[in-house]
Amino acid sequence: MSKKIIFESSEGESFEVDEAVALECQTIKNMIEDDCTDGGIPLANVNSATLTKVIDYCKKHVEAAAAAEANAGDKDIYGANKDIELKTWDEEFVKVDQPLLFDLMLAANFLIIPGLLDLTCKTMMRGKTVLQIREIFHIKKDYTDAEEAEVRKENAWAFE
Amino acid sequence: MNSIPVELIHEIFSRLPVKSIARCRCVSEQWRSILCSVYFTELFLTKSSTRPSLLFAMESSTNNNEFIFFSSPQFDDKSLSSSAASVQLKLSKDMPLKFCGHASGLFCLRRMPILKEARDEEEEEYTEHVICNPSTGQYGFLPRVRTGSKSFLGFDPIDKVFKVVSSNSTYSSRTNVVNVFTLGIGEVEWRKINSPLDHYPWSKGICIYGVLYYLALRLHATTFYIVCFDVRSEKFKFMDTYKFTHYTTRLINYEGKLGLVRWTAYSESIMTMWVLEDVEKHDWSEHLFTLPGDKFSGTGFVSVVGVTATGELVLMNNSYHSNPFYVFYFHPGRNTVKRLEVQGFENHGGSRVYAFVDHVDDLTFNM
Repeated sequence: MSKKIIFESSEGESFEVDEAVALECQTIKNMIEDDCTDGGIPLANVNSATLTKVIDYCKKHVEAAAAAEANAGDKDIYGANKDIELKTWDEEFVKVDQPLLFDLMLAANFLIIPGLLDLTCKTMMRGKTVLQIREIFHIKKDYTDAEEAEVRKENAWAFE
Repeated sequence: MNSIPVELIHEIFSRLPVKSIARCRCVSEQWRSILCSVYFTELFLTKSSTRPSLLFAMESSTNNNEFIFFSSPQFDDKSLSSSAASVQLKLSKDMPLKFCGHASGLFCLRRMPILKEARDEEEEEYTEHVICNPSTGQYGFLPRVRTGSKSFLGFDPIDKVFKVVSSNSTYSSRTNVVNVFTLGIGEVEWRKINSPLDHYPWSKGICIYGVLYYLALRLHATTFYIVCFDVRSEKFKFMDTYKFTHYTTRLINYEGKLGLVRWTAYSESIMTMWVLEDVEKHDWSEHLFTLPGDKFSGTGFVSVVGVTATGELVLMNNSYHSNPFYVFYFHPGRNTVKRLEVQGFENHGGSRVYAFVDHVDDLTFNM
Protein backbone atom coordinates (compact mmCIF):
# COMPACT_ATOMS: atom_id res chain seq x y z
CA MET A 1 0.00 0.00 0.00
CA SER A 2 1.60 3.22 -1.09
CA LYS A 3 1.67 6.28 1.07
CA LYS A 4 -1.15 8.78 0.62
CA ILE A 5 -0.96 12.55 0.55
CA ILE A 6 -3.92 14.77 1.24
CA PHE A 7 -4.49 18.01 -0.66
CA GLU A 8 -6.97 20.61 0.45
CA SER A 9 -8.49 22.89 -2.16
CA SER A 10 -9.35 26.56 -1.68
CA GLU A 11 -12.94 25.49 -0.88
CA GLY A 12 -11.64 23.23 1.87
CA GLU A 13 -12.36 20.00 0.02
CA SER A 14 -9.91 17.12 0.63
CA PHE A 15 -8.29 15.08 -2.13
CA GLU A 16 -6.37 11.92 -1.33
CA VAL A 17 -3.67 10.94 -3.80
CA ASP A 18 -0.84 8.42 -3.96
CA GLU A 19 2.51 9.86 -2.98
CA ALA A 20 3.87 8.94 -6.42
CA VAL A 21 1.24 11.17 -8.01
CA ALA A 22 1.94 14.07 -5.65
CA LEU A 23 5.64 13.78 -6.45
CA GLU A 24 4.90 15.03 -9.96
CA CYS A 25 4.69 18.47 -8.36
CA GLN A 26 8.14 19.81 -7.55
CA THR A 27 6.74 22.02 -4.78
CA ILE A 28 5.10 19.04 -3.07
CA LYS A 29 8.18 16.90 -3.63
CA ASN A 30 10.22 19.41 -1.64
CA MET A 31 7.60 19.41 1.12
CA ILE A 32 7.57 15.61 1.27
CA GLU A 33 11.34 15.55 1.46
CA ASP A 34 11.21 18.09 4.25
CA ASP A 35 8.63 15.88 5.93
CA CYS A 36 6.03 18.57 6.37
CA THR A 37 3.00 17.01 4.71
CA ASP A 38 1.35 15.42 7.73
CA GLY A 39 -2.18 16.60 8.22
CA GLY A 40 -2.66 17.49 4.58
CA ILE A 41 -1.41 20.22 2.28
CA PRO A 42 -3.62 23.29 2.03
CA LEU A 43 -3.66 24.80 -1.45
CA ALA A 44 -5.38 28.10 -0.82
CA ASN A 45 -5.05 29.34 -4.38
CA VAL A 46 -6.21 26.21 -6.20
CA ASN A 47 -9.92 25.53 -6.40
CA SER A 48 -11.51 22.06 -6.47
CA ALA A 49 -12.27 22.01 -10.19
CA THR A 50 -8.69 22.89 -11.02
CA LEU A 51 -7.23 20.52 -8.46
CA THR A 52 -9.28 17.63 -9.85
CA LYS A 53 -7.81 18.31 -13.29
CA VAL A 54 -4.28 18.69 -11.93
CA ILE A 55 -4.54 15.34 -10.14
CA ASP A 56 -5.87 13.72 -13.33
CA TYR A 57 -2.89 15.06 -15.21
CA CYS A 58 -0.35 13.83 -12.65
CA LYS A 59 -2.01 10.40 -12.41
CA LYS A 60 -1.97 9.94 -16.16
CA HIS A 61 1.67 10.91 -16.43
CA VAL A 62 2.73 8.64 -13.58
CA GLU A 63 0.87 5.72 -15.18
CA ALA A 64 2.30 6.51 -18.61
CA ALA A 65 5.84 6.61 -17.22
CA ALA A 66 5.32 3.26 -15.48
CA ALA A 67 3.86 1.72 -18.63
CA ALA A 68 6.72 3.04 -20.75
CA GLU A 69 9.20 1.46 -18.37
CA ALA A 70 7.43 -1.89 -18.48
CA ASN A 71 7.27 -1.88 -22.28
CA ALA A 72 10.73 -0.46 -22.87
CA GLY A 73 11.44 -3.12 -25.48
CA ASP A 74 8.14 -2.67 -27.23
CA LYS A 75 9.14 -0.36 -30.04
CA ASP A 76 8.62 -0.56 -33.76
CA ILE A 77 11.61 -0.98 -36.07
CA TYR A 78 12.23 2.74 -36.18
CA GLY A 79 12.20 3.06 -32.40
CA ALA A 80 8.99 5.06 -32.14
CA ASN A 81 7.14 4.12 -28.99
CA LYS A 82 3.66 4.64 -27.70
CA ASP A 83 4.06 8.27 -26.70
CA ILE A 84 1.62 9.30 -29.37
CA GLU A 85 -1.15 8.17 -27.06
CA LEU A 86 0.05 10.41 -24.25
CA LYS A 87 0.37 13.38 -26.58
CA THR A 88 -3.16 12.85 -27.79
CA TRP A 89 -4.32 12.57 -24.20
CA ASP A 90 -2.57 15.86 -23.35
CA GLU A 91 -4.23 17.57 -26.27
CA GLU A 92 -7.65 16.40 -25.15
CA PHE A 93 -6.83 17.35 -21.58
CA VAL A 94 -6.38 21.05 -22.39
CA LYS A 95 -9.56 21.29 -24.41
CA VAL A 96 -11.21 23.26 -21.62
CA ASP A 97 -12.66 26.73 -21.37
CA GLN A 98 -10.31 29.68 -21.11
CA PRO A 99 -10.77 30.43 -17.36
CA LEU A 100 -10.01 26.83 -16.39
CA LEU A 101 -7.00 26.77 -18.71
CA PHE A 102 -5.80 29.91 -16.99
CA ASP A 103 -6.27 28.39 -13.54
CA LEU A 104 -4.48 25.23 -14.62
CA MET A 105 -1.55 27.30 -15.78
CA LEU A 106 -1.41 29.21 -12.50
CA ALA A 107 -1.61 25.94 -10.55
CA ALA A 108 1.13 24.36 -12.66
CA ASN A 109 3.27 27.41 -12.03
CA PHE A 110 2.62 27.34 -8.29
CA LEU A 111 2.98 23.59 -7.83
CA ILE A 112 5.87 23.46 -10.33
CA ILE A 113 4.67 20.82 -12.77
CA PRO A 114 6.91 21.57 -15.77
CA GLY A 115 5.00 19.37 -18.22
CA LEU A 116 1.64 20.92 -17.37
CA LEU A 117 3.04 24.45 -17.36
CA ASP A 118 4.48 23.83 -20.79
CA LEU A 119 1.25 22.36 -22.07
CA THR A 120 -1.01 25.13 -20.75
CA CYS A 121 1.30 27.98 -21.80
CA LYS A 122 1.54 26.61 -25.32
CA THR A 123 -2.21 26.15 -25.57
CA MET A 124 -2.97 29.61 -24.24
CA MET A 125 -2.26 31.48 -27.49
CA ARG A 126 -2.73 28.72 -30.02
CA GLY A 127 -4.86 29.74 -32.96
CA LYS A 128 -5.96 32.94 -31.23
CA THR A 129 -6.38 36.19 -33.08
CA VAL A 130 -5.01 39.45 -31.71
CA LEU A 131 -8.53 40.44 -30.66
CA GLN A 132 -9.11 37.17 -28.82
CA ILE A 133 -5.79 37.51 -26.99
CA ARG A 134 -6.77 41.01 -25.85
CA GLU A 135 -10.02 39.60 -24.55
CA ILE A 136 -8.45 36.68 -22.70
CA PHE A 137 -5.81 38.79 -20.98
CA HIS A 138 -8.05 41.82 -20.44
CA ILE A 139 -5.76 44.05 -22.40
CA LYS A 140 -6.85 47.40 -23.70
CA LYS A 141 -5.53 48.27 -27.10
CA ASP A 142 -3.02 51.07 -26.55
CA TYR A 143 -2.08 51.42 -30.21
CA THR A 144 -3.67 54.01 -32.42
CA ASP A 145 -5.15 52.52 -35.57
CA ALA A 146 -2.19 53.82 -37.55
CA GLU A 147 0.29 52.33 -35.08
CA GLU A 148 -1.51 49.02 -35.12
CA ALA A 149 -1.48 48.96 -38.91
CA GLU A 150 2.26 49.65 -38.83
CA VAL A 151 3.09 46.92 -36.31
CA ARG A 152 0.89 44.46 -38.16
CA LYS A 153 2.74 45.29 -41.35
CA GLU A 154 6.08 44.64 -39.65
CA ASN A 155 4.82 41.25 -38.50
CA ALA A 156 2.73 40.50 -41.56
CA TRP A 157 4.50 37.17 -42.13
CA ALA A 158 2.97 35.82 -38.92
CA PHE A 159 -0.55 36.32 -40.20
CA GLU A 160 -0.15 34.35 -43.41
CA MET B 1 -7.77 35.01 -13.25
CA ASN B 2 -7.71 38.76 -13.62
CA SER B 3 -4.22 39.35 -12.42
CA ILE B 4 -1.53 37.35 -14.04
CA PRO B 5 1.96 37.67 -12.61
CA VAL B 6 4.47 39.28 -14.96
CA GLU B 7 6.89 36.39 -14.62
CA LEU B 8 4.15 34.06 -15.80
CA ILE B 9 3.63 36.25 -18.85
CA HIS B 10 7.33 35.73 -19.53
CA GLU B 11 6.88 31.99 -19.02
CA ILE B 12 4.10 31.92 -21.59
CA PHE B 13 5.94 34.08 -24.10
CA SER B 14 9.14 32.07 -23.83
CA ARG B 15 7.26 28.90 -24.79
CA LEU B 16 5.54 30.30 -27.81
CA PRO B 17 6.49 29.58 -31.37
CA VAL B 18 8.01 32.59 -33.11
CA LYS B 19 4.92 33.17 -35.19
CA SER B 20 2.76 33.59 -32.10
CA ILE B 21 5.33 36.00 -30.71
CA ALA B 22 5.03 38.13 -33.81
CA ARG B 23 1.24 38.13 -33.39
CA CYS B 24 1.52 39.02 -29.70
CA ARG B 25 3.60 42.06 -30.62
CA CYS B 26 0.45 43.39 -32.24
CA VAL B 27 -1.61 43.02 -29.07
CA SER B 28 -0.37 46.10 -27.25
CA GLU B 29 2.52 48.52 -26.98
CA GLN B 30 3.32 47.07 -23.55
CA TRP B 31 3.52 43.51 -24.88
CA ARG B 32 5.56 44.68 -27.81
CA SER B 33 8.10 46.36 -25.55
CA ILE B 34 8.34 43.18 -23.43
CA LEU B 35 8.73 41.00 -26.51
CA CYS B 36 11.41 43.25 -28.01
CA SER B 37 13.40 43.69 -24.80
CA VAL B 38 16.90 42.30 -24.39
CA TYR B 39 15.81 40.44 -21.26
CA PHE B 40 13.08 38.59 -23.11
CA THR B 41 15.21 37.96 -26.18
CA GLU B 42 17.82 36.26 -24.01
CA LEU B 43 15.24 34.28 -22.05
CA PHE B 44 13.69 33.14 -25.31
CA LEU B 45 17.06 32.07 -26.70
CA THR B 46 17.79 30.05 -23.55
CA LYS B 47 14.43 28.29 -23.81
CA SER B 48 14.58 27.73 -27.52
CA SER B 49 18.06 26.20 -27.22
CA THR B 50 16.40 23.36 -25.33
CA ARG B 51 14.05 22.60 -28.22
CA PRO B 52 16.12 22.74 -31.39
CA SER B 53 14.23 22.29 -34.60
CA LEU B 54 14.96 20.87 -37.97
CA LEU B 55 14.77 23.72 -40.43
CA PHE B 56 14.16 23.18 -44.12
CA ALA B 57 14.84 25.78 -46.77
CA MET B 58 13.19 25.34 -50.14
CA GLU B 59 14.89 27.15 -52.96
CA SER B 60 12.74 28.86 -55.51
CA SER B 61 12.67 27.67 -59.08
CA THR B 62 12.60 29.72 -62.25
CA ASN B 63 8.85 29.59 -62.57
CA ASN B 64 8.19 30.13 -58.87
CA ASN B 65 10.02 32.88 -57.07
CA GLU B 66 9.18 31.81 -53.55
CA PHE B 67 11.93 30.88 -51.15
CA ILE B 68 10.32 29.07 -48.21
CA PHE B 69 11.53 28.11 -44.76
CA PHE B 70 9.78 25.22 -43.05
CA SER B 71 10.31 24.19 -39.51
CA SER B 72 9.70 20.86 -37.87
CA PRO B 73 10.39 19.78 -34.29
CA GLN B 74 13.57 17.77 -34.10
CA PHE B 75 13.04 14.12 -33.31
CA ASP B 76 13.71 13.29 -29.70
CA ASP B 77 13.07 10.04 -27.87
CA LYS B 78 9.49 10.96 -27.14
CA SER B 79 8.57 12.13 -30.57
CA LEU B 80 6.22 10.94 -33.23
CA SER B 81 6.84 9.02 -36.41
CA SER B 82 5.58 11.78 -38.64
CA SER B 83 5.48 15.52 -38.44
CA ALA B 84 4.14 18.37 -40.47
CA ALA B 85 6.72 20.92 -41.53
CA SER B 86 5.07 24.28 -41.10
CA VAL B 87 5.86 27.22 -43.30
CA GLN B 88 7.86 29.63 -41.20
CA LEU B 89 8.78 32.31 -43.70
CA LYS B 90 8.06 32.85 -47.34
CA LEU B 91 10.22 35.28 -49.28
CA SER B 92 8.84 36.24 -52.59
CA LYS B 93 10.97 38.34 -54.87
CA ASP B 94 10.84 39.25 -58.50
CA MET B 95 13.65 36.80 -59.11
CA PRO B 96 14.49 33.34 -57.79
CA LEU B 97 16.56 33.22 -54.62
CA LYS B 98 19.27 30.66 -54.03
CA PHE B 99 20.59 29.53 -50.68
CA CYS B 100 24.24 30.36 -50.08
CA GLY B 101 25.05 30.21 -46.41
CA HIS B 102 23.88 29.97 -42.84
CA ALA B 103 25.41 30.52 -39.43
CA SER B 104 23.96 30.81 -35.94
CA GLY B 105 20.30 31.06 -36.99
CA LEU B 106 20.83 33.56 -39.81
CA PHE B 107 20.64 32.78 -43.51
CA CYS B 108 22.20 34.33 -46.55
CA LEU B 109 20.56 34.00 -49.95
CA ARG B 110 21.54 35.32 -53.35
CA ARG B 111 19.30 36.78 -55.92
CA MET B 112 19.62 35.21 -59.34
CA PRO B 113 20.12 35.96 -62.13
CA ILE B 114 22.75 38.58 -61.75
CA LEU B 115 21.54 42.08 -62.45
CA LYS B 116 23.01 43.76 -65.46
CA GLU B 117 23.81 47.43 -65.65
CA ALA B 118 25.44 49.80 -68.10
CA ARG B 119 24.10 47.82 -71.03
CA ASP B 120 25.67 49.89 -73.76
CA GLU B 121 29.17 49.67 -72.49
CA GLU B 122 30.90 46.71 -71.05
CA GLU B 123 28.34 44.78 -69.08
CA GLU B 124 28.90 44.78 -65.40
CA GLU B 125 27.32 42.07 -63.36
CA TYR B 126 26.16 42.59 -59.85
CA THR B 127 24.92 40.20 -57.25
CA GLU B 128 22.45 40.96 -54.52
CA HIS B 129 22.51 39.16 -51.19
CA VAL B 130 19.55 38.81 -48.87
CA ILE B 131 20.08 38.21 -45.16
CA CYS B 132 17.17 36.79 -43.26
CA ASN B 133 16.18 35.38 -39.93
CA PRO B 134 13.43 32.81 -40.48
CA SER B 135 12.59 32.94 -36.77
CA THR B 136 11.53 36.58 -36.84
CA GLY B 137 10.60 36.96 -40.48
CA GLN B 138 13.02 39.84 -40.82
CA TYR B 139 15.21 40.24 -43.87
CA GLY B 140 17.19 42.84 -45.70
CA PHE B 141 19.37 43.37 -48.74
CA LEU B 142 23.09 44.03 -48.75
CA PRO B 143 24.68 46.53 -51.13
CA ARG B 144 25.20 45.08 -54.57
CA VAL B 145 28.60 43.68 -55.34
CA ARG B 146 30.53 42.41 -58.32
CA THR B 147 31.55 38.99 -57.23
CA GLY B 148 31.98 35.36 -58.18
CA SER B 149 29.58 32.52 -57.98
CA LYS B 150 29.81 31.46 -54.33
CA SER B 151 29.08 33.22 -51.03
CA PHE B 152 29.10 32.10 -47.41
CA LEU B 153 27.96 33.35 -44.05
CA GLY B 154 30.30 33.31 -41.08
CA PHE B 155 29.72 34.09 -37.42
CA ASP B 156 32.26 35.25 -34.88
CA PRO B 157 30.90 34.12 -31.48
CA ILE B 158 33.27 36.36 -29.52
CA ASP B 159 32.06 39.70 -30.85
CA LYS B 160 28.77 38.18 -32.05
CA VAL B 161 29.36 39.50 -35.55
CA PHE B 162 28.21 38.02 -38.84
CA LYS B 163 30.17 38.40 -42.06
CA VAL B 164 29.27 37.50 -45.59
CA VAL B 165 32.24 36.13 -47.48
CA SER B 166 32.11 35.97 -51.26
CA SER B 167 34.97 34.89 -53.46
CA ASN B 168 35.50 36.73 -56.73
CA SER B 169 36.35 33.43 -58.42
CA THR B 170 34.31 31.64 -60.98
CA TYR B 171 35.10 28.13 -62.21
CA SER B 172 36.96 29.42 -65.25
CA SER B 173 38.57 32.41 -63.61
CA ARG B 174 40.09 31.72 -60.20
CA THR B 175 41.47 34.58 -58.17
CA ASN B 176 42.54 35.27 -54.60
CA VAL B 177 40.20 38.23 -54.22
CA VAL B 178 37.46 37.76 -51.66
CA ASN B 179 34.69 40.24 -50.87
CA VAL B 180 33.68 40.62 -47.25
CA PHE B 181 30.72 42.40 -45.74
CA THR B 182 30.27 42.81 -41.99
CA LEU B 183 26.67 42.97 -40.76
CA GLY B 184 25.36 45.27 -38.08
CA ILE B 185 28.09 47.91 -38.02
CA GLY B 186 26.72 50.20 -40.69
CA GLU B 187 29.09 49.25 -43.49
CA VAL B 188 27.93 50.68 -46.79
CA GLU B 189 30.10 48.71 -49.09
CA TRP B 190 31.93 45.45 -49.41
CA ARG B 191 35.60 45.24 -48.58
CA LYS B 192 38.08 43.35 -50.70
CA ILE B 193 40.62 41.14 -49.03
CA ASN B 194 43.19 38.78 -50.49
CA SER B 195 43.58 35.16 -49.64
CA PRO B 196 47.12 33.75 -49.89
CA LEU B 197 46.02 31.38 -52.66
CA ASP B 198 43.78 31.62 -55.67
CA HIS B 199 40.85 29.32 -55.17
CA TYR B 200 37.39 28.52 -56.40
CA PRO B 201 34.92 27.58 -53.66
CA TRP B 202 33.15 24.35 -54.49
CA SER B 203 30.99 23.15 -51.60
CA LYS B 204 28.56 24.76 -49.23
CA GLY B 205 30.29 26.21 -46.20
CA ILE B 206 29.95 25.46 -42.54
CA CYS B 207 30.82 27.76 -39.69
CA ILE B 208 32.01 26.23 -36.41
CA TYR B 209 33.24 28.34 -33.49
CA GLY B 210 34.13 31.32 -35.63
CA VAL B 211 35.81 29.40 -38.42
CA LEU B 212 34.18 29.09 -41.81
CA TYR B 213 35.13 25.94 -43.72
CA TYR B 214 34.52 25.10 -47.34
CA LEU B 215 35.96 22.92 -50.08
CA ALA B 216 37.76 24.71 -52.87
CA LEU B 217 39.69 24.01 -56.04
CA ARG B 218 43.07 25.65 -56.44
CA LEU B 219 44.25 27.48 -59.54
CA HIS B 220 44.43 25.01 -62.46
CA ALA B 221 44.08 22.12 -60.07
CA THR B 222 41.24 19.68 -59.93
CA THR B 223 41.89 18.40 -56.43
CA PHE B 224 40.21 19.82 -53.38
CA TYR B 225 41.46 21.82 -50.47
CA ILE B 226 39.70 22.74 -47.31
CA VAL B 227 39.66 26.47 -46.82
CA CYS B 228 39.52 27.64 -43.20
CA PHE B 229 38.55 31.27 -42.82
CA ASP B 230 38.78 32.80 -39.38
CA VAL B 231 35.77 35.12 -39.31
CA ARG B 232 37.22 37.43 -36.66
CA SER B 233 40.78 37.91 -37.94
CA GLU B 234 39.83 37.33 -41.60
CA LYS B 235 42.85 35.07 -42.04
CA PHE B 236 42.82 32.11 -44.40
CA LYS B 237 44.33 28.68 -43.93
CA PHE B 238 44.40 25.92 -46.51
CA MET B 239 44.42 22.22 -45.84
CA ASP B 240 45.40 19.64 -48.35
CA THR B 241 42.81 16.86 -48.10
CA TYR B 242 43.10 15.05 -51.41
CA LYS B 243 42.96 11.73 -49.59
CA PHE B 244 39.37 12.02 -48.58
CA THR B 245 37.64 14.77 -50.42
CA HIS B 246 35.59 14.32 -53.48
CA TYR B 247 33.01 16.41 -55.27
CA THR B 248 30.24 14.77 -53.25
CA THR B 249 31.92 15.29 -49.86
CA ARG B 250 29.72 17.00 -47.32
CA LEU B 251 30.95 19.23 -44.55
CA ILE B 252 29.19 18.83 -41.24
CA ASN B 253 29.55 19.97 -37.66
CA TYR B 254 30.44 16.82 -35.72
CA GLU B 255 30.30 17.60 -32.01
CA GLY B 256 31.87 21.00 -32.55
CA LYS B 257 34.50 19.76 -35.00
CA LEU B 258 34.62 19.75 -38.76
CA GLY B 259 33.48 16.44 -40.20
CA LEU B 260 33.75 15.30 -43.81
CA VAL B 261 31.33 12.66 -44.98
CA ARG B 262 31.47 10.78 -48.20
CA TRP B 263 28.77 8.24 -48.61
CA THR B 264 26.35 7.00 -51.18
CA ALA B 265 23.38 5.17 -49.84
CA TYR B 266 23.04 3.11 -53.01
CA SER B 267 26.28 1.29 -52.95
CA GLU B 268 27.80 1.42 -49.51
CA SER B 269 26.59 0.28 -46.14
CA ILE B 270 29.68 1.69 -44.48
CA MET B 271 29.87 5.41 -44.11
CA THR B 272 33.22 7.00 -43.52
CA MET B 273 33.60 10.27 -41.74
CA TRP B 274 36.83 12.13 -41.15
CA VAL B 275 36.90 14.52 -38.22
CA LEU B 276 39.35 17.36 -37.90
CA GLU B 277 40.88 16.87 -34.46
CA ASP B 278 43.62 19.48 -34.67
CA VAL B 279 43.64 22.32 -37.15
CA GLU B 280 47.32 23.22 -36.60
CA LYS B 281 48.61 19.66 -37.02
CA HIS B 282 46.09 18.78 -39.73
CA ASP B 283 45.21 15.79 -37.63
CA TRP B 284 42.14 13.86 -38.79
CA SER B 285 40.44 10.92 -37.15
CA GLU B 286 38.56 8.34 -39.16
CA HIS B 287 35.15 7.06 -38.10
CA LEU B 288 33.39 4.16 -39.75
CA PHE B 289 29.66 3.70 -39.39
CA THR B 290 27.80 0.64 -40.54
CA LEU B 291 24.34 1.70 -41.51
CA PRO B 292 21.51 -0.78 -41.45
CA GLY B 293 20.89 -0.50 -45.19
CA ASP B 294 17.48 -2.17 -45.09
CA LYS B 295 16.10 0.82 -43.22
CA PHE B 296 16.66 3.01 -46.25
CA SER B 297 15.42 0.66 -48.92
CA GLY B 298 12.68 1.95 -51.15
CA THR B 299 13.10 5.53 -50.02
CA GLY B 300 15.21 6.80 -52.90
CA PHE B 301 18.57 8.48 -52.63
CA VAL B 302 19.46 9.44 -49.09
CA SER B 303 22.27 11.69 -47.93
CA VAL B 304 23.70 13.04 -44.70
CA VAL B 305 22.60 16.51 -43.68
CA GLY B 306 24.18 16.86 -40.27
CA VAL B 307 24.73 15.60 -36.77
CA THR B 308 22.60 16.63 -33.80
CA ALA B 309 24.08 17.81 -30.52
CA THR B 310 23.18 14.39 -29.13
CA GLY B 311 25.40 12.68 -31.70
CA GLU B 312 22.75 11.38 -34.07
CA LEU B 313 23.41 11.54 -37.78
CA VAL B 314 20.54 13.07 -39.69
CA LEU B 315 19.87 11.86 -43.21
CA MET B 316 17.18 12.75 -45.65
CA ASN B 317 15.76 12.05 -49.07
CA ASN B 318 17.65 13.98 -51.67
CA SER B 319 14.59 14.90 -53.62
CA TYR B 320 11.73 16.61 -51.89
CA HIS B 321 9.52 15.14 -54.58
CA SER B 322 9.91 11.83 -52.76
CA ASN B 323 6.57 10.95 -51.39
CA PRO B 324 6.56 10.26 -48.52
CA PHE B 325 9.52 12.43 -47.63
CA TYR B 326 11.64 10.94 -44.88
CA VAL B 327 14.23 12.19 -42.45
CA PHE B 328 16.29 9.53 -40.68
CA TYR B 329 18.08 9.75 -37.37
CA PHE B 330 20.92 7.27 -37.09
CA HIS B 331 22.45 6.74 -33.68
CA PRO B 332 25.93 5.24 -34.16
CA GLY B 333 26.35 4.07 -30.56
CA ARG B 334 23.03 2.27 -30.37
CA ASN B 335 23.01 1.40 -34.07
CA THR B 336 19.38 2.45 -34.35
CA VAL B 337 17.61 4.27 -37.12
CA LYS B 338 14.52 6.35 -36.43
CA ARG B 339 12.44 7.48 -39.32
CA LEU B 340 10.38 10.64 -39.45
CA GLU B 341 7.97 11.33 -42.22
CA VAL B 342 7.85 15.03 -43.02
CA GLN B 343 4.71 16.39 -44.59
CA GLY B 344 4.07 19.79 -46.06
CA PHE B 345 6.32 20.11 -49.12
CA GLU B 346 3.78 18.71 -51.55
CA ASN B 347 2.06 21.86 -52.66
CA HIS B 348 5.09 24.03 -53.19
CA GLY B 349 6.92 24.28 -56.44
CA GLY B 350 10.47 24.92 -55.28
CA SER B 351 13.53 23.42 -56.85
CA ARG B 352 15.57 22.06 -53.98
CA VAL B 353 15.37 21.47 -50.24
CA TYR B 354 18.15 21.99 -47.72
CA ALA B 355 17.92 20.84 -44.12
CA PHE B 356 19.55 22.37 -41.07
CA VAL B 357 19.99 20.41 -37.90
CA ASP B 358 19.75 21.91 -34.39
CA HIS B 359 18.24 25.16 -35.53
CA VAL B 360 17.60 27.42 -32.56
CA ASP B 361 15.16 30.28 -32.90
CA ASP B 362 16.80 33.57 -32.03
CA LEU B 363 14.78 36.77 -32.02
CA THR B 364 17.74 39.08 -32.57
CA PHE B 365 18.33 40.47 -36.01
CA ASN B 366 20.97 43.11 -36.41
CA MET B 367 21.86 43.90 -39.96
